[in-house]
Amino acid sequence: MSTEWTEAEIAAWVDGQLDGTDAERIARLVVADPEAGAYAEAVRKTNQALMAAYEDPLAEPVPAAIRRAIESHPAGAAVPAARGFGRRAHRPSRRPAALAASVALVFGLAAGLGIGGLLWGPGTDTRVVAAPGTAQPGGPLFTALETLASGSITDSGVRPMLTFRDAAGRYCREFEVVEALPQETELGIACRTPSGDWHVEILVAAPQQTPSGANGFVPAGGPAGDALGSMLDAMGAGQPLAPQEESRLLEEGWSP
Amino acid sequence: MHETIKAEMVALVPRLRRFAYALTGSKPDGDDLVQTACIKALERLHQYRDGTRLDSWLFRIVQTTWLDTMRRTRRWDTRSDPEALDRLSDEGAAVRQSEDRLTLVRVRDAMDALPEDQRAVIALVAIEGASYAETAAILSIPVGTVMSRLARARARLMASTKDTTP
Repeated sequence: MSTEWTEAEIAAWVDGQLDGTDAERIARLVVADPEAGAYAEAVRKTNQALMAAYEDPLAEPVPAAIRRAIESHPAGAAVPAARGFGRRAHRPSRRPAALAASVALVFGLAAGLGIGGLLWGPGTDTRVVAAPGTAQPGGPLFTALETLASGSITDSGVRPMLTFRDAAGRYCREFEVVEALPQETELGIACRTPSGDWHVEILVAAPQQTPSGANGFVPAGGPAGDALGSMLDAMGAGQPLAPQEESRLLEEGWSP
Repeated sequence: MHETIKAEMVALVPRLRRFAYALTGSKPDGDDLVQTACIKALERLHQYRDGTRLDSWLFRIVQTTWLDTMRRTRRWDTRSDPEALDRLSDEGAAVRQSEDRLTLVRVRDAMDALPEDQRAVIALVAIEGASYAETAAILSIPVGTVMSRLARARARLMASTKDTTP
């Protein structure tokens, strides 16, 4: 048996970082070699002392301030589950006029997404942005829609959520833009045109906190979800495609 | 999904507080750090990848937040561990403490005296039980660097806690 050893090896063994023959070798070594054994014991004692020195928080309840900071944080409050915006199954069909009525403010789309147009204006209510526009090819929105599986998210916060076909046979995707502005998530629908562009049909901005700020949340769906639901109805949106079908489209570049 | 993550975050708070206590050397400072880091994490939820470990992601945010805090406020000059102040004001009481307790105080003093990068590494490995690879990922450093910092931290901790008799 080799009597060669380093402190790093023994420490790694005590830390549980060795396995197989390495672990067996050190296990024998610390018994056979008193110096190695003493070092292993010293490392073990230091680890134990460190755990004991800082163990208090494990036995204490979560401080109320920290719990409150997490639970009342607006993050994600207005974001529906990743399966999509929901609420459109069995929804009574609405006329496009209903959509127009629910459009509170009309702006261009966020310039950062490469769609061009105006940034959001100020306001506290849920704002609906119905700004037809084409996602700039190569821009973050275009790239996410063209290449990303539903549920994945880009560094710029664009997450395709599901894919469907509309009444005209176009492939369309629901997407969200997380924190397009601080504490604001945008939900949108874009459809792929025959020329290979992604045309944004609607983009809805939902502040994640109620105007009162009284630790209430905008219910998932809410006015923003209503506007989207109306849009989906108007488009004659079909059922979400199965993941396999979606991945086939992604691989084959959206060929019908 | 976000509500689930919030619940998981709350469940991880005890471990985050332990890590922050070790980093800052003080429970109140550690709690401030954990709260700031949790808010930061929630603001960056879109950067969290499903399927990756939430605890590793949060440890990383705690550590980077701590480095930011120190850069901004130079807190290392003004550590505010109440026990350290007690020791300064009443040495007699410290001497009367049991040997175990004294050992823990010595360990904390020795931890406080470590360079930040070494303290983070040994806190993750020895206290949190993270593997060397996890530690490397959390701190964005190579595994070899984890091992060398660990060795230096251990040598210093062992040296300063060896003699436990007052």
